[in-house]
Amino acid sequence: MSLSIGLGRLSGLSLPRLPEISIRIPNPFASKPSSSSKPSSSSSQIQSQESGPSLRERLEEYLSNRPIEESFFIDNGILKAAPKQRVSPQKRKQKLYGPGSKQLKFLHHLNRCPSCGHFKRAHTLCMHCVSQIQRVWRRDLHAKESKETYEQKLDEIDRRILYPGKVESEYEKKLKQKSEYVDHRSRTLPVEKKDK
Amino acid sequence: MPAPRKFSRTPEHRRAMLRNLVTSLIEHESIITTHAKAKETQKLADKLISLTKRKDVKQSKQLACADLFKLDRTIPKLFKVLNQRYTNRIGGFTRVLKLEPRLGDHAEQSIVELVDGPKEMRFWLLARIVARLQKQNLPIDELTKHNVSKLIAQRPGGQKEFDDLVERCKEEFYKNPESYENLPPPAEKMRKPYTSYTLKKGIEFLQRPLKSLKSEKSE
Repeated sequence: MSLSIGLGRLSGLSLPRLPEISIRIPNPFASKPSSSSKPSSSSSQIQSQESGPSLRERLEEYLSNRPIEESFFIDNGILKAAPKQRVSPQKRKQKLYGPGSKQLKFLHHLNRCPSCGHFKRAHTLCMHCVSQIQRVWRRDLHAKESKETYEQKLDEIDRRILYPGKVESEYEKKLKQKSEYVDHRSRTLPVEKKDK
Repeated sequence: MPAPRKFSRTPEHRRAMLRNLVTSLIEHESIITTHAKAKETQKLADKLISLTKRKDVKQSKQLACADLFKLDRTIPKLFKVLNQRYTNRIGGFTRVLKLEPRLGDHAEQSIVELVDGPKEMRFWLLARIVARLQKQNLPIDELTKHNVSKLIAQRPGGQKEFDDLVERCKEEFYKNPESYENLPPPAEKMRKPYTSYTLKKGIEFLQRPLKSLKSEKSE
């Protein structure tokens, strides 16, 4: 580094130029040069005039011979926070399963659905009955909306010519199997008869 | 009066959200959202419907436009269909029914529906109960009768509509004898005598149904 700056300074004095040019890789821990007032273009000017190994070759050489720098954070006398001991099984269980708020709770507010007879939460509707009713609504809507389209009236051969086989993408194939990977609400249990 | 919910949104975002919710409520008659949103939607929808009862129609239309989208469809429906439907009612044009929590994030869900509309979940569920009782050859209990009379009272041609719906429910849900095999006894026997059941509003429809049961037990 000091060499290149020296070269720049010497160039004005018409002394014989030195062929060696150092490539600077910033090293954060090296001491900064005392004088940084010199323009950085001085080295590139020299590069263009010199004939020798190209920048690329020199870079490759540098990279192959680069000394392995040790990390600053290894073995420098500074310690970082770390647990002193491993957590014992007793303490781990106390933390994970001790608090009542993390445990499963009993449902005491259960009712019987008056229309299907299975369990349901009090003050809520039975999801099974609601979804069944919604299905009827949806069917009604489709029955109202669906009319015979022009495509349905088409002749078989015409249809095959007009609409040749469609290629399904992976996404569309996956969508068809939606019922396999989407969660479904399971039905609540039926109320069992008590034997008295 | 409780403070209105903020929904962690900026005022513009919140307003747009509620406008969207009310628009789809008026369009589809019943929607499913989280419980908090349902309550706010109910508030706004009730306000909008009571707006239509004002004398100055032009002004109230202008005011309603500020809280709705899809004006070409919603405004005519609000001022013709819904206004006509609720001529006899002062308030309580909407109903919120709680559902089970949502599957993904366990958020509380509920249904918001317009009362006396074609998609009234309460009406359908009651018809289902009556259909099941008739299929089982059980007498219709007092509580169910009371609920039915409450729902029918303001509906024009309500009794006939309800009877038709009961017949339809029999076909849709209770076609096989298996479907009503494990079904509960009449509601009176399921219910604890006279707990959490007060009849302040419905006295004119029925004389306290469960009091007799209680007295029988005590004797």
